[in-house]
Amino acid sequence: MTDLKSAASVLSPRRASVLYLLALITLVFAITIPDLFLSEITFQSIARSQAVVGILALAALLPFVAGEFDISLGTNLALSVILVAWLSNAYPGLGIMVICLIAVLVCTLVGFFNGILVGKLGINSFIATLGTSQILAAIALKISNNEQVLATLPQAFTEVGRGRFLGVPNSLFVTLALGLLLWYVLQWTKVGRHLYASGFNREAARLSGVRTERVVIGTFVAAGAIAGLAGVVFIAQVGTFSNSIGMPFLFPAYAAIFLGATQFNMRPNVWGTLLAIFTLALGVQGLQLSSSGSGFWITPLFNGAALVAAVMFTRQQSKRRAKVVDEVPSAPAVSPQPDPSDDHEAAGVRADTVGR
Amino acid sequence: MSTTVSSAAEPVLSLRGVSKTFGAQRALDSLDLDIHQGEIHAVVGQNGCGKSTLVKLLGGYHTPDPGSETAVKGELFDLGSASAANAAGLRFVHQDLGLIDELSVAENFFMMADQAWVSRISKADEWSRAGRALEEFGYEIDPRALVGSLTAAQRTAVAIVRALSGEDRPALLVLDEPTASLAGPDAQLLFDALRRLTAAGGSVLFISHHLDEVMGLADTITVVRDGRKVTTVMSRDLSHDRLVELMLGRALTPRSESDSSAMPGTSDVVPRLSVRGVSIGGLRALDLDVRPGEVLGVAGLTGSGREDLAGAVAGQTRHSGEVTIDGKAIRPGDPAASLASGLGYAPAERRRDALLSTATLRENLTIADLRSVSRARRLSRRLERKETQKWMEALDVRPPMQERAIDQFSGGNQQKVVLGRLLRTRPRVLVLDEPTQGVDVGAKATIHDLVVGAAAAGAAVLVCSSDVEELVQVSTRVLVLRRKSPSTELIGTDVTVERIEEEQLRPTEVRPTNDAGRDSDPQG
Repeated sequence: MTDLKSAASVLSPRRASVLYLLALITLVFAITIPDLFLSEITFQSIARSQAVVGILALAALLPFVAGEFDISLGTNLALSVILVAWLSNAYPGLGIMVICLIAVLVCTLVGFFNGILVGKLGINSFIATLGTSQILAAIALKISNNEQVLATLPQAFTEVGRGRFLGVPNSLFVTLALGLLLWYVLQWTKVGRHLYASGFNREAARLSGVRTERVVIGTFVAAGAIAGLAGVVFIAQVGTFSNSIGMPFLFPAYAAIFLGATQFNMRPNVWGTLLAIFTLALGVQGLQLSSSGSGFWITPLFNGAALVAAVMFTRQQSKRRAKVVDEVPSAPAVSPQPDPSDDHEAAGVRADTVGR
Repeated sequence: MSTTVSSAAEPVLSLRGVSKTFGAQRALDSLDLDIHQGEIHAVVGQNGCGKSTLVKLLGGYHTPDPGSETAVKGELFDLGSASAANAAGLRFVHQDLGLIDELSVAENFFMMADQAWVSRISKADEWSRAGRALEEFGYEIDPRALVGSLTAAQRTAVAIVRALSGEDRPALLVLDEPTASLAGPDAQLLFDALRRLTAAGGSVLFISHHLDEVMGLADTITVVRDGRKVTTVMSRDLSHDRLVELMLGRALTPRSESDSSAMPGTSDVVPRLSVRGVSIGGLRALDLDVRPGEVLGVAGLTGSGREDLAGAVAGQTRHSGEVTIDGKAIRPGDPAASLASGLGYAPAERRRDALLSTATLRENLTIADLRSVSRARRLSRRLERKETQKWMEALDVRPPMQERAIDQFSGGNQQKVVLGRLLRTRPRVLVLDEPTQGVDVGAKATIHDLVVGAAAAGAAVLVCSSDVEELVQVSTRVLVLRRKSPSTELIGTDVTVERIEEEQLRPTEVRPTNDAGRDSDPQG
């Protein structure tokens, strides 16, 4: 009974608005431009291009849950790409697996460096990683000599990177597998609970025995490693480094995290983030196909508008919550409980729905 | 000319029928107060008597209830506006002083001065003006020094001289607990400066609960109790005991000298919690012991060191000194290690330091021990719900809704959850700071039962509280802090509201002074 109720409520418009947005977008473009929109090419290209954005968003999600930003993830991804491209040309004898491993390891070290700056030295994460991102960009530019670098990749590697299984691009499986792993960690382990606790209230978490310093450093290390993985997946798909990659992925990734945090359990979460990514991409794609000229300006416009809308939505929700709290007198002799009927439905099932 | 003569006889500040109501509570009840020129006028009373409300009204933070009348030098003015208070010539130095550590003394002096936005600042000019102003009050402080590098006494001096160094002569200086962070000789220096000020025709309103200081410094004393003025008397007509009686509103109980300021008789039970030589901002070389099954209450006025004690003992803050549990030392500044050693700590600032806001009640309850609700390292939602249900009943949480955000519960229920979070870890030592602040009566009783229950189950409990009745209800022993150190310990039948209140207000001269040790602040 309660399970049924919670299953129904998780799909309520208030808690899964992006799902409805997805349906609406599909419906609108299916009617207006059915031939262009409802084609396999559309869905293939979205799945392929968004797989990497999805991985990067999952990387950003971990520090975000713990209350920190990592702005350097975009250029960390670029670093991974240029490392693979460069090493594959300069040291082909290493073998592609070793090369990828080195790239991911270097990105992990970058994450550790960020973690020390933020977790140990207490520097504001936004500022610290903003600085790191520029250093990484410089390294990538130096290695690439500001030119496109064509990687020398084994055919088997690119075949896996560009291939499909059951009609779905292989890279998307990487995203989904990673999503599954992170979902498990965040939702079903002590570490995950400690991450959320550090994000809710760092000092309270610390006083409750959470080793918040380690938690923060750990999230940056994991984020760096995942960004490295995203770079590997990217070069397996594309095969070249160009100096414009990396940073442009960051915005849709964070837009999706914010939008995703208004979904399901109403806090930053894996499935909300991934759902938001593909919904935004679908909207962008539909608009681009609809516009007569080249709709190159549509992507930032749509992503930006969606982010503002998502943040406004969250703000509205927390205001409503704050109103409820205000009605609870803090220290009167007689303390009437607030009428629970008002948000019983929403709050009562809150995290029940998580992880079902 | 006749007007100037009459205004000299007029009180500098005159309040008539000033009241302030917060909700159902009347913080100030038609207070009348006159402060004359050249006078140091002290307002004294217990915690919560309305002293701070009075200061906040004068400073313009609060608006008084309608019907009150205020005049400065005979001219009416409206309370409730900070700029009006400033224009009328009222100057304030609050307990936190309002200085910026990263700026120099001179910069602190002039950051509030009225200046054109883009006027050129001459450093040499600022230095000499600030230096001269400080000298006038007998202080030798380098105006170029960073405020953060000064001693506590010097900082207080800077704040006071700054308040007085405007273009026009201020009518009245209001000092709100100016000596809360000062040791004896430093306070003396401050008093000398104030006397020099009044000798030059200035007036001072002095808020304090250090009665020995009040007696030594003030010309006139107004006693406030429960928001009402009890009386205004000349301080020379008053004995210390009489003043305490006026503040408490009853006769003093005869003091049995035998046990006062005697340290605890060693019991045969080995202490579970031992604190040795813990020093931190408000505390000086604190020693204490708590035995299993015992509740040690810690009383003390604001500024006595009570506020810093729990956090230091529990390891929230780093300190010099040693805290041991059953003989095993725990690392200061490492709450996770303290918790693992069996020390549970509930901080005073619930919202800031204890609640995982927006998280559910369940998540708030289980955070300190997730292992017991896990199966094979995987969190079991079923076990966690069952556990939460059990604790909600034990803690009497209302409404018992474990998936509701913690912010949506009343303060009392929040505090019960924080306590439950600790009790779940089966602590051997429980350290509670202001456990029932902002908590309704019903929840308070539940919390007291839980505290006493935890002790009965064998825990050593330390309760720091400004609520004296609470200490009497839960404590087996009460330690009264005064001036950063324990001054008295009350045991058995001496643990009464009356005794604690009197001990909190006892003059400090009784205690052998050990002011040889400097203030904890580093010297520039």
